[in-house]
Amino acid sequence: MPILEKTEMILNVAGRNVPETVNGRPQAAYTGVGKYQPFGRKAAPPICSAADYPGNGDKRVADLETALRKCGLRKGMVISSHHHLRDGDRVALMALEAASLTGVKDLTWFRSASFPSQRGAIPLMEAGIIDHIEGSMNGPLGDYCTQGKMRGMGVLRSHGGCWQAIQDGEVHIDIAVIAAPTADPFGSCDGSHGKSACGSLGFALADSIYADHVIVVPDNLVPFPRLPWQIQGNNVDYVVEVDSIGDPAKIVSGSTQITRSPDRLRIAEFIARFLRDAGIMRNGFSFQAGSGGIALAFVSYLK
Amino acid sequence: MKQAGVKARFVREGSTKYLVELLEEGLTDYILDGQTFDLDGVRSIGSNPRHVATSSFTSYNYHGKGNFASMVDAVVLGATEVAANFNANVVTPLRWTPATRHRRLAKLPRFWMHDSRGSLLPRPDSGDRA
Repeated sequence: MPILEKTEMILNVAGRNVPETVNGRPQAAYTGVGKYQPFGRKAAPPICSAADYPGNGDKRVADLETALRKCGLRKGMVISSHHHLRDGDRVALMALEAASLTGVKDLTWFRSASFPSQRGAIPLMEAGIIDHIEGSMNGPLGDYCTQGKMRGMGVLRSHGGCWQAIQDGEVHIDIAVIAAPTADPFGSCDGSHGKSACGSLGFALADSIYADHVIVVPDNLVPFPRLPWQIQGNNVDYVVEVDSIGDPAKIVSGSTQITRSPDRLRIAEFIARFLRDAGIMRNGFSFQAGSGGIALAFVSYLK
Repeated sequence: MKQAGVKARFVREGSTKYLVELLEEGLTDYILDGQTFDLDGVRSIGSNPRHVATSSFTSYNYHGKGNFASMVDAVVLGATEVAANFNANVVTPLRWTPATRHRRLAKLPRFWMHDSRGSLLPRPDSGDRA
């Protein structure tokens, strides 16, 4: 069992004791909504030269291990992946296992959400290949973290907080590995087409803009240009074509089934009635309903 | 909405069959989608120009020149616990039986008790959400 480094605690405005440093980095304690004034300039990847990339736009390399080596993978780096394929994703684990083949240690895995299919990361954490996860830890990885087994300190970030941390330089992504349902050899990609289509790739966008190196992993390669693109090939270093990036049927994970429980349906009905009776439901209004059975049932009642 | 003849300007992600139905029946002008939750959502975002991919930059990034979150009229969010002043816990699971609840509550740090005003609600939903 690893022993966490001792850290000073500070009381934040919500009355919680929070550590002053996390994984060796100083932290700003919560001071209230809108109270913290950020400063400085946004983070940025290094300036590159097109002379270092193929003139014909073909950035394909044989496999992930080759791509990671070419990106200069070494001890302590931050590798990111997105969660748009949800429980069907295979690419994140493929990348981490490819990284383990190079003998590298102490990686940070930056991840916008994780699912049971990523439980294969646990042996990699036990072996010290991954030091800790930042971003989101759900399912078996959440349990592993909650039980205090992770070497470094896990950092949970909201979805907006992930983008903020990347653009503010709080998290510097060394290598972003982006699973792409459709891409061209230049690296432009989108998520809405192809056999493994998963919809938006929004959570990979910050990674593609701010990471030092970007590897795109498609299972449906089309000739340039891939249109429409959500990720621009101009930000991409390498393209690694694989047979399958995952199982699109598992994009529907546990949180996206409507509830059948009578009391939960009743809650959903109350929410819809409240919106109507409070006058929030009017022409031109807007709403957001997340995953979870109640939120989904609410939409049906509101309709 | 149908009864009242009301139409939304936009609805927010994650897109599902239910939001896609709203769009296709003309009950909303747009879906602004950050993540796509099911295959109906995938089909729609790939074919309907009114179903638009967005990112956490446009939607939630607080260190920017505004974001969409403050422009949404209503949000339905699942949580494992809710406090009287609308602080919500979406991080830790709550899998307590009535028998263990009292014993575990006694062991909680004080601030937790204070925050929830001593009244913990039953876990409203199961499953990992992200």
